[in-house]
Amino acid sequence: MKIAVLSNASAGVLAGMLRPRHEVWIPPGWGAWAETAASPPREMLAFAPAAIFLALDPAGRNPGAGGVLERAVASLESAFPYSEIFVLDMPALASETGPSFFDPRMAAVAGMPWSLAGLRAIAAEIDRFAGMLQGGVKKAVAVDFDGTLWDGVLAEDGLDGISPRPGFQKFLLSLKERGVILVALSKNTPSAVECVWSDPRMVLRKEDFSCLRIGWSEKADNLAAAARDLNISPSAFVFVDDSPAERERMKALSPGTAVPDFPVSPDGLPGFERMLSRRYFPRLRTAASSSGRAASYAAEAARRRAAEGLDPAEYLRSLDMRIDIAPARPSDVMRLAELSARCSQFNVLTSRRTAPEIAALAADPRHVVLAVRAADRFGDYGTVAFAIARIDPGARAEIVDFVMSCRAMNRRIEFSVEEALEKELSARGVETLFARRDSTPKNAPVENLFAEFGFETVRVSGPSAFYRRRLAAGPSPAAPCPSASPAR
Amino acid sequence: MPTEREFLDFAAGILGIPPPEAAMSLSCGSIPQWDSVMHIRLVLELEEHFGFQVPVGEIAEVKTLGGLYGYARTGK
Repeated sequence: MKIAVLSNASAGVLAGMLRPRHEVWIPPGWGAWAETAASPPREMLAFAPAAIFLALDPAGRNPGAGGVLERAVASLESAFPYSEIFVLDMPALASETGPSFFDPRMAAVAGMPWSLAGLRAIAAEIDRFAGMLQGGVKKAVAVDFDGTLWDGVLAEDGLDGISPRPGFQKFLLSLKERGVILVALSKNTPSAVECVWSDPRMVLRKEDFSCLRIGWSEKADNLAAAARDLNISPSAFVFVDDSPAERERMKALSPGTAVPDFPVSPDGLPGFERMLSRRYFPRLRTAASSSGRAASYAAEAARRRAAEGLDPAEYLRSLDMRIDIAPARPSDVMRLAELSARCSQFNVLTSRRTAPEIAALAADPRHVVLAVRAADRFGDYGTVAFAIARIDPGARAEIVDFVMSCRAMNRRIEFSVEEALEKELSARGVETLFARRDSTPKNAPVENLFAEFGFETVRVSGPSAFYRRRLAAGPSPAAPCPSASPAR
Repeated sequence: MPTEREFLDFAAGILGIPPPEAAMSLSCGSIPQWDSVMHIRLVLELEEHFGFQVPVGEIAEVKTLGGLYGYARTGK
């Protein structure tokens, strides 16, 4: 991924450690990070980083105090509207790594304070954030009860013997309010836990959990079951449990799940909360348009109730879907990048495009980028899908991205998108449309997508299938159920 | 104490060059991959892997893999 690193120390060695995995831009010379942020040089603007990292040594020259950091971030945000800006929490990284974070010799010979261990910790933090922009986002917290949500063991100490931890519960509630899904994962007898929900000392209510998995089976199995219910991957979970044994089992049995160490003493909880928030659920600019997600989950529950007793076609008609398909505007870019990062099921190539890449394609006359909004009588889904086609010489074009949120799947929206895309391409003189689908373990929902659209399969090579369709030759794809409104 | 070959193979991995190209006479600045920034990284990685430490005043002075191997051999 394209990343830029600004630092008040020399970032050359750090950049060298990142380069095998990322394209890295650092300013020539070093130390003038605030000036670079205030007035980014042309090379940095042209580089168009997907993420900009600020790595400021608190003991170094100009560590950003007195509003300097805030002004720098504001300036970067306006100069790079499609970039995520991350201020690395260097004191937290230093305290997590311990004294070996620093190497006192380096100030004299390398213009930086960090040891190899320190540089590795910084690089790992950068990798984690970069991974989030490329599909590695965490969406849910699976939380244990005894010793985690409250002090004590409910089954042994009784309701009077436990003390709920209001601070930690408030923190989890604040995550939920930001769109993070809460899942309960407790080894308990389900009926024995019921009494806790009416306890006034509890901040979290039963309804705050999207899914409760309470029982005596393996927590990794329960987490996998919750993941299936919620239609997300086990690797989108952060598992929070005070028991080191449970954490080790989860690490072994569910390798993609994040399993942070839980503080040994409740005094460590505020620091733990800051770490969870910073490391797994940072506020991303790409996520700004998805703050209504919690409301969408409520709308989805209402839809499910309405679906009872109806056959799928009847149900679909009853939804009264409205779909708006239009060329992507600059204001759509961050949301499309978020869809590209988050959607793994309805995603034909899983290309994980960053916001600057999508912005460049939307502005390129040889590409068509369509953004898709949808709403029904239960609520607005927001922007739920996009498709990108590249127009080639010889009246040809190729679909290079077709992505949809799993919340919008099974609504036949894709047929409207394909129809709009073909109409746009035909208007631009395209006669033959090509497409490719790369199979992944997760994208089974698009396995037959292009066949359903009426494409012919040209060839299948390993995980890739290649398709072709003559636009002049036949009618548009199978009539969609909902009709697309004209471009806005 | 690492053998010469172990030392050179590890250094080649850090420098990103084929192991046969890593020789004791190879020096900082003699190949594009080994610039002053890579020099710091190379010293730090070798120190960690082979368990030695170059005194601060000597980091910039020791220019060759042979020179660095001298520290690895004596373990200080």
